[in-house]
Order: sequence, then C-alpha cells, then structure tokens
Amino acid sequence: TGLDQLKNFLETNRSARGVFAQTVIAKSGRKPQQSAGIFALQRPGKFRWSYEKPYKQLLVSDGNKLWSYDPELNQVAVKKLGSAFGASPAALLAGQDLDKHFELKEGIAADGLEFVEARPKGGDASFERMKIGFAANRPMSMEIHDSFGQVTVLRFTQFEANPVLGAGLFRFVAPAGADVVGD
Amino acid sequence: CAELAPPADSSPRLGPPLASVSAEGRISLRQGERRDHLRFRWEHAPGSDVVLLMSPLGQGLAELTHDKDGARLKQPNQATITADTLPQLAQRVLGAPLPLEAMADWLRGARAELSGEVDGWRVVISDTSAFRQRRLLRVLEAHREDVDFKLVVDDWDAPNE
Repeated sequence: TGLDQLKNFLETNRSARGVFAQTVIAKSGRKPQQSAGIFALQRPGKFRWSYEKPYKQLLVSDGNKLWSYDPELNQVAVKKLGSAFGASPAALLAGQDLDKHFELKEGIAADGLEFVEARPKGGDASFERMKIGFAANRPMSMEIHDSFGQVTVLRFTQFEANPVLGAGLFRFVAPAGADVVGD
Repeated sequence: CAELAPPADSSPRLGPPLASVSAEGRISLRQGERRDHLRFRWEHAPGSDVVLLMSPLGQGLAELTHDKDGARLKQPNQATITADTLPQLAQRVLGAPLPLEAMADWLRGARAELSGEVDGWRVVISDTSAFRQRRLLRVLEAHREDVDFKLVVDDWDAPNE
C-alpha cells in the first residue's frame, strides 16, 4: 500500500537526490507555470531544492535554517525553519516522525502508483492537503493543494536512493556581493 | 545624407495599455534588516486587481484583492481583513504601504513613463519586454526610506486581448 511504501522509504532512505519538474495550476486553470530543477535531501530536515528553469532560485536547509537565494534579485533570505518546516511539503521527503505533523491515510491507487494523503496537523501550514505517489518504495510524484485553489504537481525523476552527499551541499554560502541578512 | 536623428522623445515608453492582463513573477523586499522574496501572480481586469503572493513551490501565502467593494486580504487559516486601499493591505502583509494601485497601471502599460513618484515612493521601470506588439515592464523597482522593493515579471498572459 502507499502507507507501506512511505514507511519503507522513510526507513531505508537516509538520503536521496534527483530531478524535479514542477507545475503550478491556478484556480482559473489558465496557463500553468512550469519550472524544473534538481533536489537533494538528507534526513533529518536537510534539503537542497535548486530551480534551474525558467529562472534560477535556490532553497537550502541545514535542518534548522532555510536560505532562499535568487541570483537575479541578488538577495538571500534566511529564515528559521521552526514548526513551519514540520508541516511543509519538503518535510515529507526529508522529515522524521511525520505522524507528529501530518495525518496520513491511504489514497486511491492510480496510474501504477500507490498514494498517501497527508493533511498537516496544526493551523500554520501553507497548504491544506497533499498526495504523494509511490512506486518501488520511492516517491514519484507529489500533488499539493493550498487554500486558494492552487495545485502544485511535482514529478521526480532520476531518483537516486542513499547517495553519499557532502555536508557542504546543505549549507548555503552567499556569493560575493549578495545581500544577506535574516533572522 | 545625415542619419536621421531619433525623435526628440525617443525614450522607450510602456503601452499601449491592456484592459485585462495577468502577470507572474517574483518580488523581493528589503526593509532595514528584513529580506523577503516571494512569487506572485497579478490578475488585473477593469476595476479589479487580485495579487496572489506564493511560496517558491506555488502555495498561496496571501491574496490581496481590490475592486469596487474595497480591498481585502485573505491568508490561510485566518479571517479575511478588509481595508480601503491596497497599500493599506500591503502594509499589513509586506510591512510597507507599497503603491500597488499605481503599480497596476504600470503593469498593464496604462502608465507609459518609465519612472515616477507616487505617495513618496520613487518608482523606476528598469527593464521592459515585448508582449503582443506592446512594450510592458519586466522589472519595476520602488524605493522609499529604508524600503527597497523589486518586482520581476517572468510571464504575461492576456486571455482576451
């Protein structure tokens, strides 16, 4: 089942990396926004989410801080992860003790995938529910629904389980001249 | 013969205006120590503006709406907040009373000049792009006191133009 595959994924994948394609569909359903990039994660809480197209943007978490860097805006925003991370989409991939932050239940299998549906516990999440599609004990897709009718669909490819990842991958080093300040 | 001198007022101008337009892109805000950058989608129609601020993954963080009934701010898990103007809502959600109504005019090409002063904000269009035989802004910057705001449009859509 989806829940078994999630459990297996969490237990056997200390780290992972791969490619993601992201589509954001607005309530009006017009002209979805496509973007793509590469990701890496290391339990607990470390992840690197690098958008390459249509523009570059980098999100890096070391498990307690989240840096987001936009080269064109030449700005780095730094935020403490705190509880918000616990109930964020990234948490399901790189998180631990998910039952604390999510209500998890079996979704309806489709397109050769088994699904887990997750609803964040507590009131501060930026999304209402999420569906993760599994095959061969690893996440293939994620569908995130927020309270404005936005739907984000993520597809993961070239998924590599338990690669050796350098710690530097999950620390952000600001390029010279970037404007960095944050809590 | 001598090369024709460009017309006196050859500075590029925005427009002609679009009645309805949707712009998607990124905004960054620098205010004293605070730094933020977000994604946005701005939907303008005659008499109405809807500005959705989003996380990089596309989840809505705040929706500012302005129409004949006034201005409203919706945020997840919170009661809707009403105000008279968009700048009042911008103060609440972004910490600065950004001149969003004037920005809507610039966005849709109804305000043609590439810089201006609005409510103490110095606004500069620092880059433009072509869209359906129109020249529209690509980068808008606004400065006032310790606030630096930048809006970059990555994608345009004008469904019924």
